[in-house]
Amino acid sequence: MNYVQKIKEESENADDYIYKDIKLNDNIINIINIETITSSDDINNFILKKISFLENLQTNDLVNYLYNYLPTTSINKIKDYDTLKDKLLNGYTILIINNKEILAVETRRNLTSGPRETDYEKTILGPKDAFIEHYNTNLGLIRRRIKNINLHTKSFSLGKYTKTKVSLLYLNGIVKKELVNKISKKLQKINIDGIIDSNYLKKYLNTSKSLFPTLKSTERPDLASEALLEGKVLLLVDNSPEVLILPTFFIDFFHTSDDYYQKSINASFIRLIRLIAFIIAIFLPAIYVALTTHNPDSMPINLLLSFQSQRISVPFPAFVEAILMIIAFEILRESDIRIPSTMGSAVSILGGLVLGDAAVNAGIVSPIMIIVVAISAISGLLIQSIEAINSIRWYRFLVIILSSIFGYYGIFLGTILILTNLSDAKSLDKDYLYPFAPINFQEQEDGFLKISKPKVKLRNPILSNNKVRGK
Amino acid sequence: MKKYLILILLFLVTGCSSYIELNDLVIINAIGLAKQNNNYHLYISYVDEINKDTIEPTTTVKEMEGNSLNQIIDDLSLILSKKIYMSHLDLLVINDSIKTKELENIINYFLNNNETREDFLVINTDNIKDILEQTKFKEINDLIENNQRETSKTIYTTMYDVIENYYQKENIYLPYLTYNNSLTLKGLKVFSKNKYSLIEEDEVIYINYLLNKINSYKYSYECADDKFLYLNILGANVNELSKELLITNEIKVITNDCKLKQKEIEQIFNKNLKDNLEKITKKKLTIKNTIRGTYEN
Repeated sequence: MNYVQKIKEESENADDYIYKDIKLNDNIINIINIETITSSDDINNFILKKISFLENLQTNDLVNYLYNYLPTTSINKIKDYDTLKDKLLNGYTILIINNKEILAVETRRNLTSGPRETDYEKTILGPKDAFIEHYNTNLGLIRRRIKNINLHTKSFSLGKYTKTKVSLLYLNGIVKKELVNKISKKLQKINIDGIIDSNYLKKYLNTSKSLFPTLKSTERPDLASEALLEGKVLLLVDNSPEVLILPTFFIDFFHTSDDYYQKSINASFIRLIRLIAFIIAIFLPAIYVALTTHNPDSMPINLLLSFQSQRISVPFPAFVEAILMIIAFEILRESDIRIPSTMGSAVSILGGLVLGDAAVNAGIVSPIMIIVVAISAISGLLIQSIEAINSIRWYRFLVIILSSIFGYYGIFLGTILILTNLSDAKSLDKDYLYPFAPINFQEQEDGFLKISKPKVKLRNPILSNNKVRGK
Repeated sequence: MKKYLILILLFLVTGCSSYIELNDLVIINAIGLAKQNNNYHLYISYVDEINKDTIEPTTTVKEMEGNSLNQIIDDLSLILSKKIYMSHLDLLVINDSIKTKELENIINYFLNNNETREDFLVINTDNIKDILEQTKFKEINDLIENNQRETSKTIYTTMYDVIENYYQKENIYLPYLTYNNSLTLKGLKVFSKNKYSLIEEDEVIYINYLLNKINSYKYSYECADDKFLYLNILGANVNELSKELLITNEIKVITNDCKLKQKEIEQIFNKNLKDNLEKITKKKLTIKNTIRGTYEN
């Protein structure tokens, strides 16, 4: 088989594939690399320059000579064409000697800049660095925090076409081996054209029907490291600036990394605020709809009259008004995400202030409805996970529909549906509502409250057999 | 499949579907009721709007006639083309024309109407229309509440009390108010054996003793010319035994011009209390007092 010819045929002479033939005494070395993903400096300095010094070399074993002579530790002998392709596509430079023996030298170009600042998981206290789209950098950010030989990786190459490097990262001795095996099996079963980002893996690892996310992705190395110490497993995907944490519990979405950088009493207060905000985000518009359409008797008369006077000019039923406002907010939010940041303030002013005020003056919506939807929307943003925010949206719609049909009874039904949905959910066969269902009082010391306990600190028993921290 | 069936049943077996928009409600805050020529004469006070300057609801009083409460309310709903909403009813005003039969009809109406509560105030007056048109509920409510708390000269009666007393065949006590350019509390109307009788304000104190609802009140006694004993009764506990009433008063001496001793104060106060209570009840009275303030030992 003529390897060069075969590559040319398969790549249809792609113009970033570089082919160079060097005649060295009686040997012919075909050098192949893809210039867009390889470093030409590395190729020139560590391969071509070195080979040019070998003009008078007399050896029958050029492959072994080059293997030992080239100044790099990342050099492999390759036996088959498939591995050759993998290496080539991963930024290696391929040296084919006499069309028989093959060497692959790592000459990957660094396509990304250094660690960036956190974007959507911001904190006031604690580190500000975030993962980037480079596997080695991301692994390094974690290794820099956990300097332990037991920090193991288990790598997979996933995606029929992308051959993306996916690694399981875990702390041997803390993690339960069954968890690692289970995730490995799930990864091995994945049959997909390509893995472009770590979030692609969620649908293969997440079997729960819950609207709430049962896997959490993070851009924070400190949060990821904390998860490893807890006995969880990380999934690092090359080219992805987010790391998946497995398994994930409901309570994890109420925790942020700076909860651990401040006094317990302050962390507890903020967590309770997050819980209240979560409840407000889901239920407030529904309560308003129930109050104004089914249960006005629950309001003091002055509030009732105030609501009534505000709604006199509104032509829509309260339910339709609520849905319209929520959709309007979602449009604003989506446009805010998509448009360039330089135009963000213009959209905020136009959408939030001008349109809101004009809509009230035109009698399309009532001021109280704007207040209700705004409070609900802002409350929903207290949770940092975008997927959790999206799931709140669906729960909000569900409860509004039920409350518009049944009033308070509908809210009660909606609450039951949400609770059953959450308690039915599993994250890699672990109960999603743990430590509340099944109940574990010890774990609740770091649940919705954070209790300071300087003595013995225990690990989550369903994640680790190594139960006592610090041992 | 089973869980979806249960879910559908949960939705269908509610009976809670009562969708109504706020702007389709007529909020009734007070009702006046009288019987004339075998017909009910209903005065309905409903909220028009909120006065944006004073942030007070402005009300309109409408007079309707009919042979049953249900019929009048239905007629009103048709006239105003809105749903009559009585969950925020604050006040029911009746006059002496409302007797046992009418009272039973009223009670039945409110008990059968699941959209109303039974915690609204019930009063008796001869000037239903004036009271509804010229006064505000807060004014009436404050007058009765303050008098009950500070003077014990009235009883705050809710519809719940009326219903309870009606079915237990006990006297129904209603605050009696008049309106002649200003609102005045004139004592209590007692409905018993299909007729009303008036109890003057000073006598209401002793009714309150018997009902064990006594709050604070003032007692004065002229012990010599231009010399007075003023007592502030802070409260009393009344235990009704089989043939005896055991009353424990907590008294504070405000003025003791005659420098009476503790026992003398007790004798004067107890005699007055016994005389008045014996007019109403034939039970033996035992009175104990805790007296604080200035007196001779």
